[in-house]
Amino acid sequence: MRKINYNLLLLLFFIALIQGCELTDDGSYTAPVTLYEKIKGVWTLTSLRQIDEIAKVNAVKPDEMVLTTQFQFNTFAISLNVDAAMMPTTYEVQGNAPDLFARNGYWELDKPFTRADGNASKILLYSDQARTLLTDELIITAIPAKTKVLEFKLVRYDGTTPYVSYVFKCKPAN
Amino acid sequence: MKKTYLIIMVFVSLAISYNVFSQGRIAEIWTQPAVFKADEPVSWYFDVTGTALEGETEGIYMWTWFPSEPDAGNWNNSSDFAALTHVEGNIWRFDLIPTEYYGVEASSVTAFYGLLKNKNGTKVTDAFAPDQTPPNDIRLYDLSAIKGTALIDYYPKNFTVDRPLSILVNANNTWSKCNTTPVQGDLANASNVHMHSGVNNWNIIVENNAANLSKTLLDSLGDGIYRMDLILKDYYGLSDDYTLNNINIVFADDAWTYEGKALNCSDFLIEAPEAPVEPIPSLIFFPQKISRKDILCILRQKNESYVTGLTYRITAGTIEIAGSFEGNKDEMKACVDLVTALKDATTLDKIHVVIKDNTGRTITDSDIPLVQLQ
Repeated sequence: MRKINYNLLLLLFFIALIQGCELTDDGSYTAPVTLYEKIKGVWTLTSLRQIDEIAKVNAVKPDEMVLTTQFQFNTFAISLNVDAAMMPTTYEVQGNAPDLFARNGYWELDKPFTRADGNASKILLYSDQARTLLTDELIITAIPAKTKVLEFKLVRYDGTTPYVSYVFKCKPAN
Repeated sequence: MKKTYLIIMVFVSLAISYNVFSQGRIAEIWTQPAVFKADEPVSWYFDVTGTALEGETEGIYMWTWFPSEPDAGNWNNSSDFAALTHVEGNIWRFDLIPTEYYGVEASSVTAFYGLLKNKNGTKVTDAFAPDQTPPNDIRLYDLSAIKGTALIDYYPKNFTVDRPLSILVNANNTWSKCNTTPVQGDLANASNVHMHSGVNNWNIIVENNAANLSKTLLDSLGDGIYRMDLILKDYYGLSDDYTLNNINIVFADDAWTYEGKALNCSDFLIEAPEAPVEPIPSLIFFPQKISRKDILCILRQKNESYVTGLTYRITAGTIEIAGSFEGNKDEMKACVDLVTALKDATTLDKIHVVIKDNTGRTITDSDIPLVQLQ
């Protein structure tokens, strides 16, 4: 009885050894998905809100104004272009809306991945290809996921104090 | 048997009493003109809503017993001369010259007592009479109130914009020659007296000028007393939601040779009865701070009742931007695209904003500093 048990244990050991040494095909190396993949493309405006940051801090009404139908903002679209390597290249604003930020130039994200610290990523806009002349910053407040919505905020500062912001809510052009 | 008969009589009496004498208070009574003399034409208006005569289609008749009883003996078959004229809905009108209708001297016309009925007297209203509580009568204005030392009076005291109002002036007592040495009573020398007037501190004006002479002319009641009869809403062309606070008046003849002003040569002022307190309008620049690269929205909330439109003019260096507000009395709004307009004005540190209402009144005339963006 004891002899049979030893043989059985030995058999199990070899089976485990064979299994453990087998090579598993888990595919070739794939670069991690960046935010560029999620926000690239052409986005058209669905709403534009102007926030009075001073009124908001002081709990004064009104603290918000909807501008979507004013000044042809409903024609606003922005294309965030990337190259074949999914790296940011140029951007361009289309439509006849007032230029709240520069109509075209070069862009990149301050962090191409969702930040672990919970802070929002920023779209940095430049006037030069070398990305040395920063023109505007757009804070991403909603990243496309299940719902294909890109929302970003342009904040204006009086010194270091924000006094107004414009919240652009967009959907894919196609 | 006698007892049963008595009870039946009491019930019949009560029924008759109820049907004949408790058929409803006349909803509203007014006259045109509001102030009338006993020997001049006047129209009495009655709103019979809520009375037994509401919706009456076969005619309504005057039944009056003081100062005389013109249709006496005809309760069951009113005479045609006692018939009222249908105006609209439940409003009926009775046209008369009191002294002629009642067949009495003017001095005997001191009050009116009566009621309204259908032709055969089966439907009647409650009485109009001076002893009604609250008052519900046709009142004869006592002209002695405007004689003596009085300058101006008006009736009824609780006037509204859509009912007749009479304004009386005593030309013997008004003030003239206000630019030199003021004198009293000069207007009494004029061959005619006109009213140069406005409402809400001269917000809407009906001028005493050549084009308005018939409209602004007052009736002479004799002894230097003049009367203007008007319905404010029609006379000044007030909108339905216009809130009247006061009436402003200066009297003069057609050539403005003789003027009639109030004490100390001021304009006459008639305060509207229980004029509602209007909320204070608020002007909001949104956002609170702006740069030349922002959208500026201007809001004016709780506008005065007479404000029907606002315009803005923004001056930024050599650039001018002008436009109109949109919205209604509760909130009017204008958004201005400074981004595009001031694209090349890189050295600006402020803009100048002027806002005016539809009457030309300046709402604001002020500078707004511009945030200098880094």
